[in-house]
Amino acid sequence: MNNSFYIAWRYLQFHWGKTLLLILSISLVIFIPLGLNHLVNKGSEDLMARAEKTPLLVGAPGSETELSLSSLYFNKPKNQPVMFREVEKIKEQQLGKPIPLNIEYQVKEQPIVGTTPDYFEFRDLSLAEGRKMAILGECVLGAEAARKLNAQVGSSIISSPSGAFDVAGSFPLKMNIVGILEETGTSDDEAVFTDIKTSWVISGKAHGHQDLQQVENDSLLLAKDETQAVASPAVLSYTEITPENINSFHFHGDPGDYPVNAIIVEPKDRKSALMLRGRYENEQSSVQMLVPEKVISELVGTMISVRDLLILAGVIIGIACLAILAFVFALSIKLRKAELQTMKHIGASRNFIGSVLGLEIGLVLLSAIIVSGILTLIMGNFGIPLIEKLIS
Amino acid sequence: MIKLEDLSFSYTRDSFYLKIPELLIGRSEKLGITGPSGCGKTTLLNLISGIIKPNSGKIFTGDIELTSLGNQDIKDLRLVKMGLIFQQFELLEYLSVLDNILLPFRINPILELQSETKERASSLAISMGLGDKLKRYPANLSQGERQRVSVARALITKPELLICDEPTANLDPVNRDRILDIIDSYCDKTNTALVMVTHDREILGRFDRVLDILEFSNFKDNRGHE
Repeated sequence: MNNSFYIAWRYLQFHWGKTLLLILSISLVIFIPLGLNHLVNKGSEDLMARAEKTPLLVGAPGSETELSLSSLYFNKPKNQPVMFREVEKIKEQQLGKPIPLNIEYQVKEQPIVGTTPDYFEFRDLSLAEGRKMAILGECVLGAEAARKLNAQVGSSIISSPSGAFDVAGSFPLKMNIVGILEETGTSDDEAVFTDIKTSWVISGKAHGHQDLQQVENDSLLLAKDETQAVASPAVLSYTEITPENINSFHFHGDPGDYPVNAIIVEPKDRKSALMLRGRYENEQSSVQMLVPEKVISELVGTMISVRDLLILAGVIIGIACLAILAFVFALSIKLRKAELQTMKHIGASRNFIGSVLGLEIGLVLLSAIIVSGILTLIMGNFGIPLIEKLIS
Repeated sequence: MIKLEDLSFSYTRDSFYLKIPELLIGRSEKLGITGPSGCGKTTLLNLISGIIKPNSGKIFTGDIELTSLGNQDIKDLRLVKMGLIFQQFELLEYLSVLDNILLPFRINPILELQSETKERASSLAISMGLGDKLKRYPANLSQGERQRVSVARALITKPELLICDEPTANLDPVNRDRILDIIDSYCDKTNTALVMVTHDREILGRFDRVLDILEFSNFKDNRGHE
C-alpha cells in the first residue's frame, strides 16, 4: 500500500466516528439534489410511459388529472361514473375499441378492476399461470396483488365491503382466482381484475338469490302471482357465484345505466382518434374525452418545476455546507499542526504531507459519492412506487 | 563530524539573536547542552538538524555543508543520518506503536520499508520493553512508554547523530534513567554522536562534554539576557 495512502487511511480509520459523520453529511449534500433529480426523472418517465400507452380516455366531467390517475393507477375514483351505454356508443361509432374500467372496490388494499378481456391485450399482459376470467365471479390477479394477498390459482378472495354502515352499499363477494399475471412493474401488478359484470355484482347492481317462485316461506315475499314474485328484504343474495347458483344471477334495470368509472378508447388510427376527440369536444354531453399523455405531461411539468426549485435550494444549501466542510477541514489541519510539523521535522516533504491530506479529503469525498450513489439507487427502486403512492 | 562556523541566527520579528563562533562535535561524542530557558538551546538543535537555516555562517555534517543544501536535500539527509527525539514525544495518535516506530520509512521514499525493517522495529520495541504493546496506540501508553516509542522511532534509521531536546523533562526519575540508558547503550554500541539539551543537572555526568550555551555563544533576547 502506498505510504501516504496508508497514513491517510489510518487517520480516517482511527477517527472513524468523525469520518463517518463527515461522509454522511457530504453524502446528503450530494444526494438531495441528485436523488431528487433522479427520482423526478424516473417518476416522470414511468408516468409518461403509461400515459403514452393510453391513447384516449372517457369519463365524467371534472378533474382531468383525477380521471387520468384513477384510470392509469387504479386510485379510488373521485369523479362521478359514466353510464355503460357510453361504451356501446363508442363501439357503434366503429372508430376504436372501448375498454370499460370499474375501479370502485377493493380486496383489502388491492383495487378491483372490473373490465373486459380486451384490457389484457391492450396492456399486453400475459399470464404467469392459469387463464383469463371467463365467467361471472372469476378474477385474475396482478403479480404483486397475488403476493400481497398470498393467493394462488384455485383459491378465492373476498371483496372488501365499501361501507360497514351502508346497507345499500356493496357486500363481500367471494371470487375464484383463475389466473395470475406476469410481473410488469406497473400498477397492473397491484390489481385484481374481474369481468365488468362481476364488479356490478359487487356493487349490488346484479345479484343472485333463490328462485322466488319456489319459495314456500311467505315472509320472504312481498307479493307473488303466476308471472312474478316480489322479494322482501329478508331474501338473502348469494355471496359466492357457483356453478349451482350462477344461473340465478340477474341484472335489474337497463345495463346501459350501469356505472363505469372510465373508458379507455383504443382508436383504430390517428384519424379515428381525431374524429372521436372532435365529436366529444363538440358534443354538449355529460362525458369528457381526454388524452392522458397531455394531462400527465402537464402534471410532470409541474413536478419538474417543483423539482427545479428544490434542486436550486439543495444546491444553495449544498454550497453552504461545502463551505462549512472546507472550514472544518482547514480547522482540522490547524489542529493537526504539531503532528504535521513532526512529520516535516523527521523528513517528510511538503508534497508528501499534501498528498496525505489530499488523500484523506479524497477518500472522504469518494466514500460520500459512493454512499450518495447507493442512496440514489435505493431511491430509484423504492422512491418511484412511493411517488406513485403519493400521487394516488 | 558536526562543525558550526561563525553561525548567527535571529528571528525576524523578535529581538532574539544567537551567535556561535565555532562548535565541533566529534564522531561518537556525547554532548550535553545546558542553559536557562529562552537562551537558544532548541534553536541550536534546530540549526544543527537543518530544521531552520542560519542567517549566516556554515554547518557541516561530515563533508557535507548543510547550509548549502536545498530544503528537500536537508530533509533527506536528516532522515538518513539524524535521529530526533522531542520533549513532547510527538507521536502520531492514530498510528500504532509499530507504525510510529516505522514512521521515518513511510514519510519519505528515500527509505524503503522492507520486511527486514519491520522485524528490526519489532526487535527494537522488544528491547525497550514494548514487545507486548506493538499494536497499541499512544493514548494507551504511559509517559515513559511513549518516550521509548519516540526513541525507537529515532533509532530505527540507524542514525549517525542523535539530537535530543530535553527528552526526559516529562519523565519520572525511573523512566528518565531507563530512557537515558537506552540512548547511552545505543550510542556506545554504534559510535553514534549525541547532542542533548537538558535542564537536568543530575544527568550531566553521562556526557563526554557539557556546554553551557551562555559560555560558548553570544545571544541576546528581549528579556535582557546577554
